[in-house]
Amino acid sequence: MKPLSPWKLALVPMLMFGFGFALVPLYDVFCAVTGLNGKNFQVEKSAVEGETGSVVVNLQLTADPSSRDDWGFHPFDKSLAIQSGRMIKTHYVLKNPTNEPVVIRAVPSVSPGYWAQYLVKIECFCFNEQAVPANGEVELPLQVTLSADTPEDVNQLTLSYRIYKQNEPAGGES
Amino acid sequence: MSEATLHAEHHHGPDKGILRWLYTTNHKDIGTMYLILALSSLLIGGIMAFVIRAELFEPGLQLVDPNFFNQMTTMHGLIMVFGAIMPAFVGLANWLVPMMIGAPDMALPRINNWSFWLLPFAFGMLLSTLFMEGGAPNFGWTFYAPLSTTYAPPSVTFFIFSVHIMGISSIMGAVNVIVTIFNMRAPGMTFMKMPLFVWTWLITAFLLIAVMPVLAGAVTMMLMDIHFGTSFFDAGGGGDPVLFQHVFWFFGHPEVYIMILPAFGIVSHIIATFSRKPLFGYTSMVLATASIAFLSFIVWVHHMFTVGLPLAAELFFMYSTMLIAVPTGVKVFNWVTTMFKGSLTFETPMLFSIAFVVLFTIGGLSGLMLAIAPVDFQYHDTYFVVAHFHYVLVPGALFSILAAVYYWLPKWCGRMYSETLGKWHFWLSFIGVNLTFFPMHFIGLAGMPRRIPDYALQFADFNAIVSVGAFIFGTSQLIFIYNVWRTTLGGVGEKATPEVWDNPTGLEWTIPSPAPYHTFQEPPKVD
Repeated sequence: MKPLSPWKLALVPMLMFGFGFALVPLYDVFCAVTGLNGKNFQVEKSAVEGETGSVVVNLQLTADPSSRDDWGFHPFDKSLAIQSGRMIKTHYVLKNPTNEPVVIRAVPSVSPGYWAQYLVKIECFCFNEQAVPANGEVELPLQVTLSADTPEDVNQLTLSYRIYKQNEPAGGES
Repeated sequence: MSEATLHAEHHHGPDKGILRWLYTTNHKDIGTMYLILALSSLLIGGIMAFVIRAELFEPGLQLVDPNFFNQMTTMHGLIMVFGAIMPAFVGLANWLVPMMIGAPDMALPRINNWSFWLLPFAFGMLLSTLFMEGGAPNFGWTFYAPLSTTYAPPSVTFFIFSVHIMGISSIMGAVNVIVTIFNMRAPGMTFMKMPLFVWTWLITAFLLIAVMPVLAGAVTMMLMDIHFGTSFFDAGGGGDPVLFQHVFWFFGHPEVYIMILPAFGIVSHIIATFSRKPLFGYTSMVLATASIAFLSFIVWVHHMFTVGLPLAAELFFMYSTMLIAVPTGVKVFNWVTTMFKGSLTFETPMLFSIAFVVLFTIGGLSGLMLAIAPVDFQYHDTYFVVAHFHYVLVPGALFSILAAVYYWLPKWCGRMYSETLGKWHFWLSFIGVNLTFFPMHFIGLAGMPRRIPDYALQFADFNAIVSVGAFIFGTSQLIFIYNVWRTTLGGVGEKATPEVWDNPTGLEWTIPSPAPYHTFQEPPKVD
């Protein structure tokens, strides 16, 4: 039998180190395909324009400020009826009660997760950094619709945003 | 046999003094150093366990503040897993694998020296965090993000580097073991004639090279999140903390088999010797070990049943986890059948091995209970989990290491240990271990959470018993240390014969006791 070369064998740990990092995109792909995790992805406006569908779904909007901060964060509309082919514009309101300007970032989540794919976001403030002046108030715009292939049994969707403060020193003690 | 004359001609003894240990490429020297490092870690981790149990002896906060308590649980776990159990098995592999396959040394002796000498620096760095501003890591040995990133003490960076260094050491050690076993077996020793300890270590080494790099990846992502502004695990930047748990447990589950597979090999040798029968079901043992190793890669999500999984995932990981009970059951059956109608004697290694079979099975059964997804929601993060993994790691992995040391010590140093002290050590450890970990099942089922320095009054009695048991178990290890010291450095004890025991099988028993510095310069013939 030919002797096993340690250099060849060393390829295994090197590949597995790469695999560890490959888990990151794989995880996102897995979540996108299965609709797990309540994540959905922003799409182009043209992709959803078309005839008005028959399914009407009640969309509940909620706001979840980071529990460590004292934000005034709430949706302008508490709930909306959405229908495929019809664009709905609304916004969230964010008040900064502190005397310092802050930068925030909002992360969305859709519940139930397995219906997240049917909520289509055309315009969304998620993941963008948003500056809020001291004692100021901003409106965060949102434009949504319902996917044309939404099945009949979808009757309720909840869209929630959680905001995170960005200008905190990373790794600091809290 | 010309072994002795051959030995005299080639003899170029080791360096003198400390240089011998710094420069050595001899597998026996390096094995000894690994074992001493593991014993030191066991004592340091044991002292941390004493701090934990002293605080938990009574409800309320008496001795340490909660943050220091968290540092103790974290460091206890890290030191015991990476500093005690893993190096102990590598030390045993160094001593035994070449002697068992008839090889003169490991295949990569200088890499071997480097693998060992990385470890004192890795653990020195890890322990130094205890004296840093902000304290040592306090986020649990599983270091879940964001506790270990956003909310971690500044010393987390030292923790990350020490994990990197010990990971490199483990990977090099594993590559060394695989290459040694593949290339250096004596003529005639086919794979299916290899002793089981060699087989289990071969499979363990493959697990190590497959998952230690994933751990290195996980801590590298943490490092980048903390210092370079990435957001792998930071939800605020589009990352996901649950991703951390997936990456960690993809490493973590095979890791628990890394800590138990060599133990399976050890007790297979010892039970066969003291039953005076060949091992029952050698082939099924090899296949069972391989299937456990395979299954360990597809069950990791059973550690995260409560993160919010779809039903299909809960069911898949529940059933795949339960499947592991099948090959494990094959092993237990084989050990029991080996003992059946054997001519049994109960020397210390045999006592530890029988205790291993019984108590490891208890740990396996509580593992099956935890595998049931619907009830895991109650057991999750309670003392029931603590009881489970201590049953498989302490009377499991640790008992097998102690059994191995008693069993092969006469071969290593040429003298018999004190059987009386060995039996005292065994019985006190056996009573101590059960007193410590068995009541944890009850307080866990009743709802006591793990990693908490204070608890509700209803758990007080059992916690007091647990602390007493931990004290008995911890201090009885001093008997072991004294026994090993008097046999090796003390020079007490009768001289061991080359065979040591009653007709043991294996090449290591064909060489003199103590094993000469160089063995099998000429490969033996195996038929």
